[in-house]
Amino acid sequence: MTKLRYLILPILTTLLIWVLNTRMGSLPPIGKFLDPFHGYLALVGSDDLNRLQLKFPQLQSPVTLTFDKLRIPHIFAENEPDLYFAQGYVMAFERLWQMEFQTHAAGGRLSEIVGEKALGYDRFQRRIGMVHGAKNALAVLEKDTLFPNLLVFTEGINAYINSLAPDDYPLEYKIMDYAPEPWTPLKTCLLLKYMAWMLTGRSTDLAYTRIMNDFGLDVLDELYPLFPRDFDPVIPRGTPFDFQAPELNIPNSIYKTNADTTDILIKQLEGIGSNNWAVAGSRTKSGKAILANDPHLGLSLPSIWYAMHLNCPTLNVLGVALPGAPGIIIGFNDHISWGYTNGYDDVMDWYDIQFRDEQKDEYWYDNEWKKTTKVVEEIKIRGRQSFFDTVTYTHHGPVVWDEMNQTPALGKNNIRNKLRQTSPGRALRWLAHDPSNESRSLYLMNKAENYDQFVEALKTFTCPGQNIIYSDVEGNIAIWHAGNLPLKWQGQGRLIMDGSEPAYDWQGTIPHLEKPHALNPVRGYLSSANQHPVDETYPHYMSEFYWMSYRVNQINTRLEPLTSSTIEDVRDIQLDNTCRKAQNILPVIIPLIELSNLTNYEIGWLEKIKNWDYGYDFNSTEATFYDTWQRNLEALVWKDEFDPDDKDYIWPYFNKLDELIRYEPESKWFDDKHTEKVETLADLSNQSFRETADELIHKLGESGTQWQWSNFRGTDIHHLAKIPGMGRLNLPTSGASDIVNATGITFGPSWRFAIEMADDKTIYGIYPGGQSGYPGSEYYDNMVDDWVVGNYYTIQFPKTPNDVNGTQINWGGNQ
Amino acid sequence: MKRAVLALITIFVLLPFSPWWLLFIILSSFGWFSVNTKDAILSGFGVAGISWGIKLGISYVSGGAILLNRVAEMMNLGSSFGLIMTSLILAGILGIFSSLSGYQLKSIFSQPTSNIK
Repeated sequence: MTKLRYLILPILTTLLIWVLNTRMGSLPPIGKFLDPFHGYLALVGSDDLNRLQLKFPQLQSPVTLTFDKLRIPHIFAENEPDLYFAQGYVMAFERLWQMEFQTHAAGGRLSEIVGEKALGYDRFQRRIGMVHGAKNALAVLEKDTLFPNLLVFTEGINAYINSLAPDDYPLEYKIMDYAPEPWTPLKTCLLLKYMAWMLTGRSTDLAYTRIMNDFGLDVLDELYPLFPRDFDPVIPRGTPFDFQAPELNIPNSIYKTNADTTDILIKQLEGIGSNNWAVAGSRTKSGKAILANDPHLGLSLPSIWYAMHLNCPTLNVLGVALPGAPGIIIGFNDHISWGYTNGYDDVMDWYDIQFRDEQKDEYWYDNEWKKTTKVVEEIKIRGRQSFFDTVTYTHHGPVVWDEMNQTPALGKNNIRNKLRQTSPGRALRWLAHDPSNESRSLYLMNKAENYDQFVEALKTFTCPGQNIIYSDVEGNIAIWHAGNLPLKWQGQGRLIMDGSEPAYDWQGTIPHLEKPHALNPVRGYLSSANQHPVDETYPHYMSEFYWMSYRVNQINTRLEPLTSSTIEDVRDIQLDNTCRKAQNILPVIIPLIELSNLTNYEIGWLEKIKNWDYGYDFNSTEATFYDTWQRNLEALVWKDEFDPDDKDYIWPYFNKLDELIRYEPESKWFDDKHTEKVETLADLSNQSFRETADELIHKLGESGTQWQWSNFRGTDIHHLAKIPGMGRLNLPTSGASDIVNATGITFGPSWRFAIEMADDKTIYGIYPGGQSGYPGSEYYDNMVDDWVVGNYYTIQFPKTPNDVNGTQINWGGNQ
Repeated sequence: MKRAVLALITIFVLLPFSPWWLLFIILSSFGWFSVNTKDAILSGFGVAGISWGIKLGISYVSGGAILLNRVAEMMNLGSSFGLIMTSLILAGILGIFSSLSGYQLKSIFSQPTSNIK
């Protein structure tokens, strides 16, 4: 018995090693992770491009890759299958974890990695039908002649995955202690749906229904107008539309429904925004068309984009790709260039469903009981038994919530709450569920040689709808509001609809050639910034969720006088920090400020604001003051009506307040309904000015660098999985929402791109990150600092692998 | 000293092909041959620390500085120095436990005569 005491320490040691080999909460398995032989340090040097010196029996012919100084791979192959194989392999080499994590996130599989805490998120992803939509897209792709390209792309990714020993797994796998699984075409479809979610996953149906119920349709129409004043549509005014909208089945009266059962409506969303424009050769110094695009998205590391050049005898394209999807998303080839801004069409609608009983096996539609479909989703949970969730599908789409708070893990500020503006028992009609083939569009766009081929490529572009700008070497410019646009009657989809009445169904899609588009307009330039695509003369009804027009107004103001513009002008416009909101309202409200009520300190600020150039530059202190003033003024105007204690509303967008200030200063909305006095714009302007000075002096002190805009706001680029230490935080950026350089705390220009379309092209580009997804690489975030200050890189477009300096890799074929 | 060198050679030969915890089995085995508790503690701490230290040093000078800094930040250790020290201390403690375990296991099988004397 005495000797047994000698076993205590060995047992304790064994237990200790077991503990250090096991993941605890969000911590990696410490011993396993810190072990320098197999843990994170085994990855040192894993970004060495010479590791790509390999042989592939899968290749038919030799492939040459040259990585330039930005680490952009220029891949030269002799046929398309080899090219896509190489693209898949290289993408996986650089970004495997990101690719797979995004598909796990899209498909509601994060619980498999992080355990039960992701169950709410996963249920949400499943219940909104992400996998359903991806499978529908895959079914179309499988029948397409292009499907073999996706298969070889997949094969390339899997060749890389299969080459990995556990020691080689990218860092995040080691931190979260899991392993990569084989890539499949479904994962690529999920990625595209992930983009669709990011760009169309929003709905104001319940918010507007609530406002209509509580304030009336007149107020809804007045405060949330379909066509805001001063808006500048994507398709220039005066463009003729020589077709008529078809007769649609219209309900006899507006459907009314309850909108009180949900208390998680958000207020106004901050505008992320994207810009693109093209200038015809007739207005450029070189006589060649110039195209610019800066899609603004939520920023993360690794970056959402991966820059690549793909070359084979039938294809020569360069631009940014989405890691996990073949081809180039935004870019150019020898003949054309293109770029996107989000179309912002309302392609998410909600329907009240009347079920026959609690079993939800049948629902009332078109005067009969119609069968539902039940899909049982198995959500695997790390360390626990699987969770099974049954989702009921109607012909509209899934019933996302059967009961309140069905996905409780999502906090009130979670981005997914954008969609949680609806309540239980309602079915979601979402365009991203429809069978679609965006991959074909991207492939054809990559190869298009002229405008007609570009237009043909857009035929299968379904969701997310985009404003796609175009220019070519012939000097043509064009823009298409592409994507499947549901045919709707006036106002359809603005409010929650009756799911039992066929008149509320979408009634087809707008024919391809009737989609808003323009080619070579007289004015010589085209632009978009998420605003309404058309003016009131367009025959079809376009939905209500288009963004305010501030950015495009500023872009057009800059473009209009440029009759001999250069690519440098274009770059300069992308970095424009002028705040049109301030430019519009300050000349009206500054004269209303009564000096007699101000302290000397406040008078000093008023003088500074008077002399301000409206620029949200990183070192501007006026931007800090104005931004706070605007927010305070907005709150004083709307809080009395739209911020009661018991219910949330979406506040009117700022352009409405802007209109009231400039054109209706006597509006009733300036009155605080809780006081006996009738407040005016002058009252609110004075009150908000003083509140702002008071607020900021308490927060920032009387003066100092903390007043500078970038210190007050700044930008954080977090790691995709929010792993501490893997992001870049507190970046001193300029710009803000609704400014051309639309940069916020967590979003900004995800790819600044400008090109002059000569035969020998001038190309500039930069994105806030780096080509490598490996956090230990100098190429993980090497572009961030230049991006912050507005520098660009010259992008090389070599004709052969030897035309560019860098690391060259030769992959022999199997011949 | 010879034992420590032999242990280090064994570790560097076997570890690249074995799970991380094999280090501590090796150290337990060498602990078996320790002459006393102090010897077991010193050799366990030293061999584990040196073996991890050499690998950490090689990784640092061969381009691992960025990674070390990021992981240090992730683990809230301030800097790569903090991470290196934490790693060495962890290895050292586990080395002590392992070596002592081997030494104590030997005691189960040893004759009790020495205690009587």
